[in-house]
Amino acid sequence: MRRLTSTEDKKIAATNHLLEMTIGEYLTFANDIITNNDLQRKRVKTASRTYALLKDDLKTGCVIPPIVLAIFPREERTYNEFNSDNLIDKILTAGNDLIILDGLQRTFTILDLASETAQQQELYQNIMDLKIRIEVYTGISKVGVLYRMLTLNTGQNPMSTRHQVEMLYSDYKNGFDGFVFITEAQDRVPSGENEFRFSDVLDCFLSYITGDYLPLDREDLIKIIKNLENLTKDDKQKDIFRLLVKTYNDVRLKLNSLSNNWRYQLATPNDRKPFGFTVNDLFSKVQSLAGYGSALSFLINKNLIDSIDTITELTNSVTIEDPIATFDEIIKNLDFIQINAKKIGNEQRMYFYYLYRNLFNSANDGYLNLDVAVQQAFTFYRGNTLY
Amino acid sequence: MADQERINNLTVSRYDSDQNLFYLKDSETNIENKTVYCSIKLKGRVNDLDRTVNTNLELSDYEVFRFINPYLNAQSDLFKLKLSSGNNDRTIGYIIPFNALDDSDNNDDFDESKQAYKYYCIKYIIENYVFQDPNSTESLTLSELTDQNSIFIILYKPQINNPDFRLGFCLPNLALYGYYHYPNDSSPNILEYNSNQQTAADLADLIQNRFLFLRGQQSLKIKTSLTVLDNSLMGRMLYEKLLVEVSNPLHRFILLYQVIEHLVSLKIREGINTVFSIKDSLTNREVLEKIHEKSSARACINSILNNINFNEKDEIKNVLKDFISEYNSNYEKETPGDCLYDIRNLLFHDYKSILEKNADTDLTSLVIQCETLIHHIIISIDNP
Repeated sequence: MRRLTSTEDKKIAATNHLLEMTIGEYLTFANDIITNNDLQRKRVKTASRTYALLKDDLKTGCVIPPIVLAIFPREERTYNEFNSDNLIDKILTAGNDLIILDGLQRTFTILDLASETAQQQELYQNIMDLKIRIEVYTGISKVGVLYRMLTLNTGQNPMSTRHQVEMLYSDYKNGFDGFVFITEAQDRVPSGENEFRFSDVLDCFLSYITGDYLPLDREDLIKIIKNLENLTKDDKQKDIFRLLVKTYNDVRLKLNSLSNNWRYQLATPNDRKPFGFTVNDLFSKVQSLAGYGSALSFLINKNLIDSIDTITELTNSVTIEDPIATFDEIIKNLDFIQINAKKIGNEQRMYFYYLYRNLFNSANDGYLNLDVAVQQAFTFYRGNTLY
Repeated sequence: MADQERINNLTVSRYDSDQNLFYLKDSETNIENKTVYCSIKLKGRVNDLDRTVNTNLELSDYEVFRFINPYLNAQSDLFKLKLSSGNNDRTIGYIIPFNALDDSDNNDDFDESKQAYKYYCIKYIIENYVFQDPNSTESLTLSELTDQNSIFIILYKPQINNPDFRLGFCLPNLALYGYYHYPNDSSPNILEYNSNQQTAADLADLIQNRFLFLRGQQSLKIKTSLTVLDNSLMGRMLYEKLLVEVSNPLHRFILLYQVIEHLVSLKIREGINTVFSIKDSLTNREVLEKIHEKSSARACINSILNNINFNEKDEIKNVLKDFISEYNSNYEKETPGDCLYDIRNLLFHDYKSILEKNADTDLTSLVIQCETLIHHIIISIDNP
């Protein structure tokens, strides 16, 4: 195994090392990445035919494109500087801090092939001696990993970006800095005191990086990458994910504190179930989080606010003149959407998007004034849907 | 009225609820080479009990048809479908808008029966989709398999008592609610039909009172109408294709009026046969007079409409009369049959008067009223 070059990747503020090694050497740690690293994406079951062909090619000694890895330390661990002397040793001992950015399915194929040919000594040895090139990123941030994952992997299934983000941030899945994340399995409503559903926070982050309140479908990869570039231009090491959660929590706490203990009252017991009964219900749902993420993306891209941090400062200045009427109005608006929308969840996301856009855009009448921002949000929503 | 013919060998092998993926396998090779993304809840709690949708039923027990509705097209416009038969109303299936099939962001209480209908509807859509290359590896989303404006009617056959029942016989009743059959080889131009409702208050009110008032109801009832559809190619064409394709109100009226022409023709023939059966007891002059009387289109339409009753009858007559009165201030006829016939005369024979009075006249409201009238006529013939 030898290091060929080390090159600075200025785009993502990381170093890319190109190594040459044999398949046998790669397999000494490749298996660990897959078996020990729960961040790693699972095997694609539907791609078997393509990779069957690759197995045949490897038997005849073909050259495959470089496999791209990253040393990506978990929260509690840090690595000292990498240099030409310690790099290979650190790679071999990185264990589940190694992540495959590109080449996972190729790695599965190589592992399968090794297992299938284990009894054919000569063929097995030929395969183990075959040289491959491995690129390893060091000093990379989470957003940097995401950026490279997105640019390297373009042909995956429709939910690949969500899947990759989920994987990348799954070390946060139980929370951080006093925030508690509820998993799908726990299936309960967040209490509002620093609690969120992990999947909802992911949606918030995805809406931020895509600039779109809608759930990811067939995503426009170029759009996401461009957006990510723009959103991280000030500081590539900044942990956007943490900042989004923290500022959103600030907003939710502030609205709760200004709510005058508002609670939605049903006119009759048989009334339609409202979107929520409390401020916490209202602002702990994915529609609101996704609307927030996409609204911030808009405000930053249009230079209407400097960065996510600005929101903390602005939130302190938010006012509500008539909390009872205003929160009732939000329920009424969301109820209208529930009845008339072609796609309820998506349109509720749109409503919250306009709500946060109006609340934090100094050019709007609803700037820092929830009463007016709510009215404007519904007007903007109606203007976009024409019901 | 089979909506699609299955030509693939691909069947749904399993649903992965973690990834929200339906896996498809080739029934000959057993290879799973395609996935379709769609989120559906198959488990939930009802009255503190865990409930799970049974996904092992035969898809052949279900029938799925694609419709479109320019009015009731919200995600929440999801209804049980009940078949009226005598004094009994029996649930035979569901009306499910495409957007209600996916449960992302859906916070509704779990309803096992509804979720089962959704599951088998999705399965039907997937298994009947014609993949360009059934052998290639492919990951698709459900929205790529059909027009997202589609609304599906799914029937559970064991719930239907009458073996001769066909949903095709209920198309006039479904059209009364705004549901038009939407075959694969048609264009859903009907969606443009109510585009003027943002500016025309009367049209918006009509749509609200005629269609949108159904929003929030749990179920819709339908009746079969066999006579006209079985005996007229035009009638079948109208409901199986043309009404979804034609959005110009004048063109729609011409097509819809063919139903009246067909019924009038039957009525005249019936009258002539009656006269001929008693001709030996009549003088020549009396025979000619009676044939003249029986061949009056106006009299036939009046006869048809006088014998049926439905809630909107007076309202529609007044709208038609008001419209005619704009062009004939002395118009005094009062029966729905006369008014319909005179609307026909005005549109067919004197359309230039309408244009000369106001070139921008929008006939949409008027034609919706006439359409309601004609659907009711067809339904009433078999359900007096």
